[in-house]
Amino acid sequence: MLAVLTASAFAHREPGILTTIEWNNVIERTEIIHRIHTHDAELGVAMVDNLPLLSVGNTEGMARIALYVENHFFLLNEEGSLKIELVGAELVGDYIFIYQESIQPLRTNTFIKNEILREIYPLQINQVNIISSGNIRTLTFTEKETVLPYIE
Amino acid sequence: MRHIIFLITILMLISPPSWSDAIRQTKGDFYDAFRQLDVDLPSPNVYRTASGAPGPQYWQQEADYHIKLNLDETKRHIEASEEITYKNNSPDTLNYIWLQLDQNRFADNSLERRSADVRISSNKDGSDKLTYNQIAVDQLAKDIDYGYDIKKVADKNGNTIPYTIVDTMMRLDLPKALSPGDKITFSIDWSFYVRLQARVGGRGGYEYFPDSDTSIYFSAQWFPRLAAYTDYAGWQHKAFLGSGEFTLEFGDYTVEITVPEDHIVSATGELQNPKEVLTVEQRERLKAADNATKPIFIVTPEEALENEQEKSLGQKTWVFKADNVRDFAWSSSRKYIWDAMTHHQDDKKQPTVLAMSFYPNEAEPIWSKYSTHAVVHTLDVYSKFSFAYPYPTAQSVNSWKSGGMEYPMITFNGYRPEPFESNKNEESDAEDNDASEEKDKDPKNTYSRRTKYGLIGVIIHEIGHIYFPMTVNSDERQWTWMDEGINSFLEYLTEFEWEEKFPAYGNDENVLDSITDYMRSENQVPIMTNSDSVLRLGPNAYSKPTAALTVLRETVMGRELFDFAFKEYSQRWKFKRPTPSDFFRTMEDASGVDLDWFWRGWFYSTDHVDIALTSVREYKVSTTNPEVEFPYNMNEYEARIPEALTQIRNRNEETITYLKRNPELADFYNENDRFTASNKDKNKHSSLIDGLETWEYNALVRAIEENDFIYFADFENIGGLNSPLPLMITYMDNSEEFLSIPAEIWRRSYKKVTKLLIRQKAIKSIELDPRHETADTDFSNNYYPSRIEKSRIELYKSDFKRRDLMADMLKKLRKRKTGIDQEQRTVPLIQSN
Repeated sequence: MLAVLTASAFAHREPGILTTIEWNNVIERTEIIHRIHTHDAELGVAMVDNLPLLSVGNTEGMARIALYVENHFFLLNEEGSLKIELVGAELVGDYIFIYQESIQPLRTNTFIKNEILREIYPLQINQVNIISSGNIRTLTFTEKETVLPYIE
Repeated sequence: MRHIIFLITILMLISPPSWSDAIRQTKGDFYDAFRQLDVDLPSPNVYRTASGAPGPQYWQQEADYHIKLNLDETKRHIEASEEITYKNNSPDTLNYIWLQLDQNRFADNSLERRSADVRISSNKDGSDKLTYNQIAVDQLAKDIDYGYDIKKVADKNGNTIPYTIVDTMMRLDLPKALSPGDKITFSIDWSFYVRLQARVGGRGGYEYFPDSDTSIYFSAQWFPRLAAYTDYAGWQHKAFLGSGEFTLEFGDYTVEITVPEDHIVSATGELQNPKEVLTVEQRERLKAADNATKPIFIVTPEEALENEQEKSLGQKTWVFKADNVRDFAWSSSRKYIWDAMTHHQDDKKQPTVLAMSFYPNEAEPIWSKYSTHAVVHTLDVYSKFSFAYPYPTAQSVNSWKSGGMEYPMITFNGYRPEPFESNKNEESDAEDNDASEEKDKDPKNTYSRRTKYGLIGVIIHEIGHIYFPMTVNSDERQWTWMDEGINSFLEYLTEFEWEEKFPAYGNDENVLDSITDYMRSENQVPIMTNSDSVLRLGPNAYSKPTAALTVLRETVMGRELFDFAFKEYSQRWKFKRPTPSDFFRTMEDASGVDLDWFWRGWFYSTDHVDIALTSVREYKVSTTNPEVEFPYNMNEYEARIPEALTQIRNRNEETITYLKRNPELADFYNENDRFTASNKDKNKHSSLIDGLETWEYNALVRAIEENDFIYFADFENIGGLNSPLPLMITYMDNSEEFLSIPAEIWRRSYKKVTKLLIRQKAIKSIELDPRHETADTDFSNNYYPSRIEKSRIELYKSDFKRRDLMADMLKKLRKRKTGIDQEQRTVPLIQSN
C-alpha cells in the first residue's frame, strides 16, 4: 500500500512536464525543450537532491534542475543511450525551460525514457511532442509508462 | 483470440469517429463545422429550457446540517456527530438516500488504495527502487487506521437506520420512503484520524512544523455529506478516486468546533459566539475591521508567536453559522495570525463582506501584505462579471506550503516566501532582479517575484471558486471545466485588473500563446469529457476553456455581447445547478450570436487553430486594350527578366551586329516585337467590349479609372479548428490597416478559402493574427511575404552573457558533484534469500 505525495496544487494546477523534440534544419540539430512549472521543479529537485534552499531564481538553482533533467531523460536505441548535449536553462515566467540538443535526427523506433520528477509527483503526466515534417506525435508518460517508443 | 482483439482495436482506430452521430457526411470529405448542435445537446424539458434557463419545474434537493466536533490534538483525532435534515424537492419517491464518505479514500481497503500500483520507476540500471516517502507512508498506514469510523446512524427518535458502505459512498435504507416534498431528519456519529497531508495527500489534514512542534489543521470533505440527486444524473454517487471533485446540495449549517483554547479557527460562515472565544481586544479589533479599508490585525504576528509557545491544554468551542452553502470547511491552529478588512458592494442583501486571512509567521511578510487585498480585489472583479458576492465572509487561509482548494466562504492557499540566505552572494537572473531590493534587507523578509504572483494568483482562483462552483453549482465530478475553466477565465481577467503585465501565464501573459503546445498535441480529449476520463486535467479543464472564452470575448463576440450573456448565465444559475448545455444555450440566447461552430470546435473536438496564409496574388484591372496593355506587359517583362549580360557587354564594346552591317535583312519582325498589338488583337478587344452589358462596361471603366490593386489571399486551415482571420495589412507607404474576417468565411469550405481584397494602395505585407488573439499554434506560416523565425534554443544561444553564465555553472556543478545523487536518496534494498 503506497500513497501519493501531493506537494502540488489541487484545484489550481496539476504537475506535468511538456517536452518538445524537433529537428531544426537551420542549425541541423534535434532540439529538445523541456517546460516545467517552476514550483514543481523547485520543490521536486530540492527534495530529491536534499537541497531545501534550492531556488530557480538563481543560476545555480536552474543549473541543478537542468542537471537533474539530464539524468532523467534519455533517448535509447539498440546501442544504448544517444548523446544529448545540455545547452542550458532559462526562466520564462512561471516556467523553467531546459534546453538539450542532439546532432542526430530522432529516428523512429528510438525509445524515450522520461522520469523527470516522476519520483516526486507519481500522478503527474509528462508529455513529449515529437514534431516531424509538420506532424506531431505525442507520447504520454505516466506512472505506469516511463519508457515509450517513438513510432511514426 | 489476441489477433481478433487486435483486429477489433484496429477497426476501432480507423473507423470514423462519428459512428454514433445522427447526421453523417457519407460522400466526399466535407465537414460541416457550422452544423447546429441541436442533435448533440440534451432535449430541453420542464427543468431546463431550450434557451438555457432553469425550467418552470426546476428543482433541487436541500440538506441542512447541525454538526458538533472535537479535535483531540494529542491523538490527531476528530470525534463528531451531525444531525441532517434532508428535504426531497424532486418529483421522485426515494427509498434510500446516498451520502459521501470522502475520508474513506484513505482507508486501507479503499478502492483507490486497492487499485494503486508501484508508482516509482526503477533505478537507471533497472533495479527496483523504494523511496523514503513510500516507506514512511506505509509505516503511517500500519500505525493509523484512516477513513471514517461510523459509529451510529439513527432517526430522530434514536432508532438505528440500516446503512451500507460502498467505498466512499454510504446508502441509508430509509424506514419509510421519502415522498416528493417530504423531509427526514437523522443523525450520524463518526470519528477519524487526521492525516499528515504532506505524506498521505488529500485536500485536508494537518501540517507539522518540527522547529516549533506546532501544527495547522485544515478540514475539508471531513463529514458525511448528502450526495447530490439531480434531474440529469440521479444520484451522483460515483466513487471518489481523488480527481473529479464534487457537487453537493445547498443547505444551512450550524457547526460547533471544539479545539485547544489557544487555537484560532477559520470556517465557512460567520462566528456566532465571539464573546466566548475571543479576547476583548480581539473583539474590538474585529469591530474596527468592519469599517477598515486596509487589513488590520485581529491577531498580530507577535501574538501568534506567543500562542505557539503556550500550547494550552484547555478547550474552547467556536460556533459558526452559514446559510445556503453547499459545503462546510474549517481550519484551526495556534499559529494563526489573523487580519481582516471590509469589502463594500452595491447589493442590498449583502452590502458588506468581511474579507479575512489566516496564516502562520512562516508565511510572512507576503501574506499580511497581499492576501486580504487579493480577496477584496477578487470580489470586486468577479461581482462585476457575475453577481454580488452572496455571503458575509470571504477567507484565505495558508494551511499548506503548496496548493489551493476552495470551499464556501473559505479557501486553503499555498505559497510562502522562499529563503534566500544561501544565494546572497550569487548573481541572480533577470527574473528575480526586481526582488533584489528586498534581498538587501533581512533575508527572512524576502520573497521572490514568483511567490508573490503565485500567491495572488492562487487566492484569486480559490476565492473565485466561491462564485463558481460554490454558488453557480455546476457538477465537478461530471464536468471539471464548468467550474475550473470558467473560474480560470475569470481569474485571468482579475489578474489583468490587479496590475498590467501580471504574469498570468508566464511572462507571455497571453493564455492564447501558452495553450498552443497543448492544443496541437496528439493525445488529447475534448473539453466535453467526463472529469475522471480527462487526460491532463490542467490544460484540458483550466487553460483551454480560459483560452476559448478569451477568444470568444475579445474576438468572436466582442466584450459587450459576451459580458451581457455571461452575466445572464451567472444570474440564471446562481444557487442552482447548470449543465454544459445550459451554458452553451444561454451564451447564444442572450447574445444573438450563433456559436454552435465555436462550441463544436473548441469544446467538442480536439482540433487546434493553425491557419496558414499560403499565397497572396496581386492584380490590376485590365483594360483589355492591346494598345494599352501590351507596352505595359513589355515593361513588366523587362523589369522581371534582365537583359542578357553578353548582349549588354557587346553593346558596350560597340560590337556591330550582322544585321546592322546588312540592314536589307530587316523585315516586319525587326520593326514589331511580340508586345506590339496586331490587328487581330485589336479586333478581339473590340468584340469583347461590344459584348459587355452596359452595367458591366461602366463597372470596367470605373475600375480602370480607379486603378485599384486587387489581391487574392489564400488561407488554409491546417489545425482543423475554424477561426476568425484577424489581418494586419501594411501598405507600401508603411500605413497600416487592421481587418478582422469572421470565422463564417469557412462555412462552405472547411479546408481552404480565398479572400478578395481590393485596395487603393499596394500592399507590402500581410500578417495573420498579429495580436495573438486566435490561439494560432504556428506563426511561421502567418506572413506574406513569408518569414523565417528563430527557434527558442537559437534565441537562447544568442544571449551570450546568460548562456555563458549557465555553461560555467553547469561545468562547476558537474565537477563539484556536491549534490547528493538522487539514487542515494532511496532506501537501500537487499535481495531477501
